[in-house]
Amino acid sequence: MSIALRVVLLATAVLTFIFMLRRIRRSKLQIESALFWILFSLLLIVIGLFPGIVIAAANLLGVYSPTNLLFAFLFFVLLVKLFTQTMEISVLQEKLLKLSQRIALDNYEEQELLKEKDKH
Amino acid sequence: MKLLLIIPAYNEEANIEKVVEKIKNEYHEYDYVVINDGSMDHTSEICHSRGYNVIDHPVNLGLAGAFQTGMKYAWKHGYDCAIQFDADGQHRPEFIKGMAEELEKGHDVVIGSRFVSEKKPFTARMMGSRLIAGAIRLTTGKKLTDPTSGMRLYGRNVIQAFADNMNYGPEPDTISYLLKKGCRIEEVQVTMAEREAGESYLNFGRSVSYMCRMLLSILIIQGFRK
Repeated sequence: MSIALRVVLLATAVLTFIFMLRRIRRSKLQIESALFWILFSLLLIVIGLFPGIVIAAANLLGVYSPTNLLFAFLFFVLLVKLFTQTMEISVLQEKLLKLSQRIALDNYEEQELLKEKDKH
Repeated sequence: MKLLLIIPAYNEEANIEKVVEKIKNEYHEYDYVVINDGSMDHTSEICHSRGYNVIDHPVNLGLAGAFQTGMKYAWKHGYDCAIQFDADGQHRPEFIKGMAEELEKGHDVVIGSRFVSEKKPFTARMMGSRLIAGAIRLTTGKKLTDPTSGMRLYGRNVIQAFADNMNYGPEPDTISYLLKKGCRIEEVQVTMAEREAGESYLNFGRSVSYMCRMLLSILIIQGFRK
């Protein structure tokens, strides 16, 4: 792995880390949601500092270049994250739908009650 | 001192009646509110037909969301303190008095601990509890014997923070954050019952994931919070 790639990895990790912590400080991000990115940036830092891990894994798996293995690995991690987020968003959309319908129906009932009152 | 029991309930049709009836009959000096967190069973119907004081969430928000609704209620209705009280029958109301007395000595949070004078067993779950206690001691210097106990009594000066803010879940990482901010937290010995019926949310996988999240949060994230 080239020095340039390692520097990019470390820089990305540190920036992600700082960004997440700043959002938490300002109460703009839930700790639960940030944990994945905190772990992700720690992983990038470990790989950036000890590229030997990737090189050893590439030898073990018979992958020609460690960099390719690293890209494939990161791609896979992000793919899994995307997959779980798709499921989470779907649940959230369903909740939003339920809530909006509930509020709309409650408002309707309330207005009907008011109309009834006016008549009498 | 006006004290409120916040009882978060998710699918607790088997236990809720027993728990609330005991409070209504034997401990009427305390007020209570059941937060039905979008249960899919008959929890809500039972509460309404018995005339319990209940707030229904239209969707499931999770324990933190349900507890926060309770804290909003406590703040709005001017309670001096609020205690998280489980709907599964694990928490016993006879220990609330002692916790309230401890709070009145000038503490902000009082934790009902199973291990102040009792020994902590060497089970897998208690090893997790030790790890969390160790992390809190390392980052705040405070020695807690039962950081994962859900039975916590909160004073009025922290109720508002819990009612309004993000990242104030009723979990050990929030306790470590409060300690860092200078809150006075004490523990009182209590005994807890086994869950009477229904299923516990925490299986082994979930427990391990919970421990990891708590440790990451306490060791790394809480140190950077304002």
